[in-house]
This record gives sequence, C-alpha cells and structure tokens, in this order.
Amino acid sequence: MSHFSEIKMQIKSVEAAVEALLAMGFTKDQIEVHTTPRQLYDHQCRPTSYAFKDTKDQRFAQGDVAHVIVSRGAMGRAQNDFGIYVDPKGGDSRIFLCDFARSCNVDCVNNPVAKELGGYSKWLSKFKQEYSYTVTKNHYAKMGKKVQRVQDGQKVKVYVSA
Amino acid sequence: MKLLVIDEEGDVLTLHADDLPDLGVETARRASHVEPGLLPGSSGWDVVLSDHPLNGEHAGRVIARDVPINQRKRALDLEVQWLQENILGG
Repeated sequence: MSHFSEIKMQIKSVEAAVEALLAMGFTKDQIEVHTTPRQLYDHQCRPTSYAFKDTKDQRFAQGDVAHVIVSRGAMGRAQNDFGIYVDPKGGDSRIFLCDFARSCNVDCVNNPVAKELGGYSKWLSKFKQEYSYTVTKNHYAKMGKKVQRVQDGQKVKVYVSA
Repeated sequence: MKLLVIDEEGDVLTLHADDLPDLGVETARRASHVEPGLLPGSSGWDVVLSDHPLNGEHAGRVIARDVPINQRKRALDLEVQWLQENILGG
C-alpha cells in the first residue's frame, strides 16, 4: 500500500541554498548570507519592492528582502540583486530574479553556468533542481546512505541505497 | 533502492516514506493497494493499482495476485519495484 508523494519545493535551508549556488557557478565571495533579511537593490542602486506590488505579501511590505543575496554586480551588466527569502516560520520561500535577468542576452550574464545554459531563466530551473538534490543528498548522507544522481532529460533521478 | 525524481522546478515525486527529506509541502495520495483476498479466488496478497491520476491507463491494474499470505514483504517489494520502474520511470 504505497502512496505517491508529490513535494512542492520550498527553500527552507540557507546552507543548502548556498551549496546549490556554489554548484551553479557562483563563488563563495559572491554570496552574502544574512540572518536578518536585507533589502535588495536594482541596477541603479534603488531599493526594489516587486514582491509587495505583485502579491501584496505583507512580509515584503517594506520592500524586497532576502537572506541569501548575490549582488547585481556579480549577476552581470544591468542586473538587479538576486535574492532568496527563507521564511523563518516555514512558510513560502521566495526567489527574487528580475525580469531583465530572465530574458537578457548572455552578454549581460556573468555567471559561467548561466552563460553556458543561455541565460538566467534556464539557470533558475537548474538551481531549483540543484537545491532539491543538495537537500536530498545531505539528508541521506547523514543517515549513512549512498546517493546516486542520474540526469534523465530535464529531470534528475536520485537513487538512495536501502 | 528508493527513487526520487526532481523536475525542472525542483519539485519532487517519489513514494512516501517517513524518512523523506524536508523539501517543501508534501501531498501524499494512495498509489496502490496490497490486501489479502482482494481479487476473486485469491487467498493471498493481491497488489492492485489505485485510480491515482499518475497511474493513468494502468489504474486498476493487477501487479501481483495471490502472493502467499506469509510473504507480505514480497508483495510490498513487488509493488514498490513496479511503481518505481513504470510510473516514476526508474
């Protein structure tokens, strides 16, 4: 009597998010981690407030804030800050990646993995996969289990030893 | 061997276990039934797929029938193996 488990990914671990960012082409010195979420800025150094404008989410009533930040300079030319907000109460996380970053030419992209993928839109999908893989790998490693990763088209299959 | 499948959004599909990693919001729904005497003429363990949308055209399919009553674990192993290979794509 098995049950299918469908898990909607939420970023809950700052440590795993940082590990995934490192795997996805950023360097340690490009990643800021803040215990108290910090304001994000656009390419002209103006504080952004897209989350509240888009969703009226009260957590962002004072502006877009994030616990994990890659500065606009590290992202590329004319980019806004990239950020990840991790809800301390276990609620929805939020990833901030501006519209320009999702659609811009690779000439405006500094991250080598994103360049290879053709931009930050595909990079973001791969980052989410990498985050889920990282959490899974670390979780089972702590239990002494072996994990094997297999890329199958656009999906990642993770086999865990018994 | 357990299998977890991660899609492009980082969302995960797997068979439920109590030791799954804390990846987000989990929704669990029955994939199959393992019951004794579920099928006519059977007195052992029968393994039958549920009508979960993921089972698609396989809904109601019999995976194993009349597995001896003292071999419940074998029935459960057959069930998991079939689901992982055919639905999860292992």
